Amino acid sequence: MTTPRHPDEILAAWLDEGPVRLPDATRRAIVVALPTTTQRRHAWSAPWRFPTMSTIPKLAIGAVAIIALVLGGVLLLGPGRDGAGGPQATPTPAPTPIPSPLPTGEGAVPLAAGTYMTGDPFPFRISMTVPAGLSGNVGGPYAAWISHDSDPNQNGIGFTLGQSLFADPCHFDGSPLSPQPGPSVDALATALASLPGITATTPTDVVVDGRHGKELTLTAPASSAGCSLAPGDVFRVWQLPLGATLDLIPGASDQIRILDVDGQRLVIDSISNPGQTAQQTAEVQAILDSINIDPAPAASGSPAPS
Amino acid sequence: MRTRLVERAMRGDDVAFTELIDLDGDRCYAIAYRILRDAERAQDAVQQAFLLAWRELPRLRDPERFGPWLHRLLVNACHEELRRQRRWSTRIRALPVDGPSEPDTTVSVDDRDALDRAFARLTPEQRSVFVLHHHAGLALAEIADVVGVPVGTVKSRLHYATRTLRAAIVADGQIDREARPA
Repeated sequence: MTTPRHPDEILAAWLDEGPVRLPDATRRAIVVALPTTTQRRHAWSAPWRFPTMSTIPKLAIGAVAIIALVLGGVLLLGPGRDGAGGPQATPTPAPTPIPSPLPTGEGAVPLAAGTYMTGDPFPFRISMTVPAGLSGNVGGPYAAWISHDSDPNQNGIGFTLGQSLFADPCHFDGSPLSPQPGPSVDALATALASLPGITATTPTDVVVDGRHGKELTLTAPASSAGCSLAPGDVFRVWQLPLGATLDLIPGASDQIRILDVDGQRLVIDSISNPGQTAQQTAEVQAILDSINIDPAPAASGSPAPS
Repeated sequence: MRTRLVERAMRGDDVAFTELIDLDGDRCYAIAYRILRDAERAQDAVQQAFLLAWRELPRLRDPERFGPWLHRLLVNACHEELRRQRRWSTRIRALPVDGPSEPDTTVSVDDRDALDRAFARLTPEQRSVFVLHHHAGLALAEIADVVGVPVGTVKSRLHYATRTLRAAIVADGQIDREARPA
């Protein structure tokens, strides 16, 4: 006669059953795939290249930025701004946070909590308040990003322009959508809403910091079954002129706001991946709510999509 | 040593990354198998986690956090496998293909079946927490770090999973006693 075992002993024994060694075939499959799996070196994009800039222009841009910040501070905080020259009704104006420049270059940089503004070579000046624990960068003339760097699937926000859509994110072979949408907000919204292989909400009107536009949400299928996806098993939606891509993993959704900023098109999108925590969602929403968009530069100064 | 390997791999050294696979592969596979209860899916999840780790490694801020980060990728890969499995797979049960752990003969066939059925009813999140704690030996705070939820949530998931599995054994024993022909 055997003594009945305690349920926890049975549970532990059951849990210990099963293999403990990774099969050689699996190990080999991983190792073989490494050379053909490109490492990502910055948020959101795959083959991003940022134009090399020599030290002198960098210093010059830095100096100009500092002078601009100082002058801006003087203009904002100095006396007699209303031109009257007399004593102010409120002698101590409320401090206005001066945004720090969002770091420029390849690779997301961890950000301290604070207010940041996109700068050159990205053509739009967008400021936002970012909580601690996120990373970001101006990746080049077509994109800037803020993301949760602890999240391998890159929950976060993208500011982009120059989208070229792919024909079918589910059956991806690199073919571009033909014809590509025109330059208007409505054209891009309609084209995105019509993409096959992913679900899209009907575009609706939206206003962000006084800029009108369209909003829609793309949602990738929860499973890749039946699809032949882009490398990395992602639903690839668009590509920017220098190669950065918008990729959605299965089950991810992307809230896309397409804005008309003084006649130029700006896309602000926020990806939400399966498993995104409520805190991450709240942080992204808070950033979106804090966005301020300065007047757009002259159209001739914006980069032309290639 | 591990940190140096991670730093080299972050710079694109695939030999260093292969050494990381050798160091962590077995443990990842054991965890994945126990979450998924399916050898082939566990292999897929481990492969997916390591390839994602390789792809995203340059964005890892602190090389010393490679372990928890890899576990998070693995758990996410397992959850994805489970979601896929629930939608598309048949109810065929795969048997483990290797490993020194033969079925524990002191776990009765009935208990094993009852536990398998009860475990299958747990959510992916409950499964992960249970395996990370009881098999991988992670503390609750470590699990919270891996799965990205508060410690309280880890506790409640663990409590529910453990209670469900214990109940399965007890219920199975009662059924044995009550319903089996003498």
